[in-house]
Amino acid sequence: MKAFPLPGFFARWMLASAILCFAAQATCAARTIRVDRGGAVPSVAAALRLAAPGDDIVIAAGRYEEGGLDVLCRVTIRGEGNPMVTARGRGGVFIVRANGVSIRDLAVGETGRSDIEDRAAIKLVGVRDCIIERVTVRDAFFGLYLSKSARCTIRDCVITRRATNESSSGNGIHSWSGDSLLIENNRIEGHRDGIYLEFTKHTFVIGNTSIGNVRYGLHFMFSDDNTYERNVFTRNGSGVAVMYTHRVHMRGNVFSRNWGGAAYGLLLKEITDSEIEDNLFEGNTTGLYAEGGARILVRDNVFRGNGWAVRLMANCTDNTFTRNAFLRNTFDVSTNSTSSSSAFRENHWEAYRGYDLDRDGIGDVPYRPVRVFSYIVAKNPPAIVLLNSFIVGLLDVTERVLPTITPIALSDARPLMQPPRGRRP
Amino acid sequence: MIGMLFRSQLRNVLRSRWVYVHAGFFAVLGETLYQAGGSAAGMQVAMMNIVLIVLPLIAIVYGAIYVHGAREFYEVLAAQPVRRRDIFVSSYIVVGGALAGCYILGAGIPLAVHAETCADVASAAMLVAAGALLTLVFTAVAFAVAIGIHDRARAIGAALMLWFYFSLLYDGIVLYLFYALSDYPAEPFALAFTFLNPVDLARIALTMQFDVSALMGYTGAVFEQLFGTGLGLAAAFAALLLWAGVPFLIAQRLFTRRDF
Repeated sequence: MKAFPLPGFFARWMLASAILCFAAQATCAARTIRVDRGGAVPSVAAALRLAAPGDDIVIAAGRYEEGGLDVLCRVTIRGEGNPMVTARGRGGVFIVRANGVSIRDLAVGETGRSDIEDRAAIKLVGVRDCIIERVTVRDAFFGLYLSKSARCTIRDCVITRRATNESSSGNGIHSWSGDSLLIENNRIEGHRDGIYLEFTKHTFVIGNTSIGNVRYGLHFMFSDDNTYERNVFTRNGSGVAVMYTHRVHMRGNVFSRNWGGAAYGLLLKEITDSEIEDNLFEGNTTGLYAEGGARILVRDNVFRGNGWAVRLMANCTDNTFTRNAFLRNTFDVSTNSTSSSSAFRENHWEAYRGYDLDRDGIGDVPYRPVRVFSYIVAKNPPAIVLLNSFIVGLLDVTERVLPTITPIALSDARPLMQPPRGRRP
Repeated sequence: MIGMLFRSQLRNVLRSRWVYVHAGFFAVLGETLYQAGGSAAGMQVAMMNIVLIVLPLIAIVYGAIYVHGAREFYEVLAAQPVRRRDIFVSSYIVVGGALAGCYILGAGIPLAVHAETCADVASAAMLVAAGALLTLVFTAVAFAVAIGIHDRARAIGAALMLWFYFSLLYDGIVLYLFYALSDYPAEPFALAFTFLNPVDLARIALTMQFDVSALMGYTGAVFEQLFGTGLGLAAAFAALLLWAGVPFLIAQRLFTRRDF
């Protein structure tokens, strides 16, 4: 069998296998088809031609140089001894076009890059109830690509590539126009965006690790009602950026070491009615950046060792920051406005110098987290060259005693003396 | 002859307790900051902040006091067949060298003991080198002021004013200019102003070592381009040397022409 049939032939066997699938559905019970390089069925393509809905395709260990494999009926494709299916740089590997397909325990990849098509190791097109589990994706342009797919699960996959710039790679896990997906315990490294969701709703993204991606660890737009829990986003080129979305829930994630001129732990743009809870922001240039956010509840997070812990632009309204801990950040809160409609209450500020006479754990003097210098810098960026200088220290002290420039409204009237004990593990 | 001048002045300087206090201060400071902060990087940043304020102050005040205290010594020597330049050079090298040496010793010990990584060692070395250079700069400034102004109280007052100017006033003026010129691209101007103040030069060259350039946005990138390279650092140190050299030459000129 030629690895890449000509288009005409390709179309014919697609049609034939579709008919076969349909016919088989009516007649046979589920079978197991074994793919083995020396056996009766030597290629995955041959197995897929033979397959009827409900069949198992078991791929024996070895390297299968095949690509453009259309999965057109409901089968389970499973590897034994970790076989590798590779397109040898000439295109996508699996394209799933049937509902209920599961792919497990194998390695796929080496799609090569393309500027014309979205090559993916596994592409799901307009399907439901598919499962991709324990799949290793090596050096694919897009790792797992879901298009108009719903109720699918991606679990325990490892997706790696060594992208050097944004155009040399696609995204690790990419979903366009999806619904009710579960993306769980995957590891994505070295792609453009680790996880990219667009128009993808009611989705759970849980326990994933997204490291060293060229652009964002996690990136979503117009993806309402999603939940992100216990993920780790670290050392990504620009951190995590999420935009134009309502009702986002982010809990227990780690945003760390996203360091660089345009890097953010978490960048929120036009996010509304959302909750950000129990997360750790550590060692980022900017921990949390919010632009145009409204009604966001930021609760029980830890901001530690960031350049800017929180940067809140003037167009953010009605956000609440409570029970967060701000530790060892160069700037705790920065804003470019003298008024603020966001509320800070009962946070712990390491830089707080107040006292607690009645010993109820809450400081008796309000804390103003915006240093006058951070305000000056927000207004006049080159002034940052005065960082660490004597005059800036003096200005901060005077302003703390008698605030005249910094937004008085932006203050925490009930600062916690001790960091709150969060529900974080 | 110049050797004898060195020896006698060095003995004089080492007899005073202040140089040992100077060394001890930085040793204790470094250790305390390490105990308080718990990390080498944290200690270095905190130490930098203090070094940039305290070191120029000590150098300028001690230098001015020394010159006025040694006045009779100079008068006696000036009556001998000794070249005035030798008297001046030996006394600058002894004072600047003692202060810088004590700082290197005092700050160097805790910095060396607590350096954990290669990056720590590099930034510690920078901190020590920049501090020593700042000492030399402000000793030279102190000599120029103290030799130029005959009255002891006025000389020390002027020295303090200069310290105040370099440490505080200058940055205040710069901050004002940033606001006044906020419609123009300020980076080239910011770069230029850095070189016009030795304290700022040391501060920014050091700040760049602590990987905060990312924090500084576009301005940081401009500075990183300069100070992030070996050539840029060399330029910064050369500028600091120039900052020591110019007041040194002025002071020398004043000293050789002074009517004691």
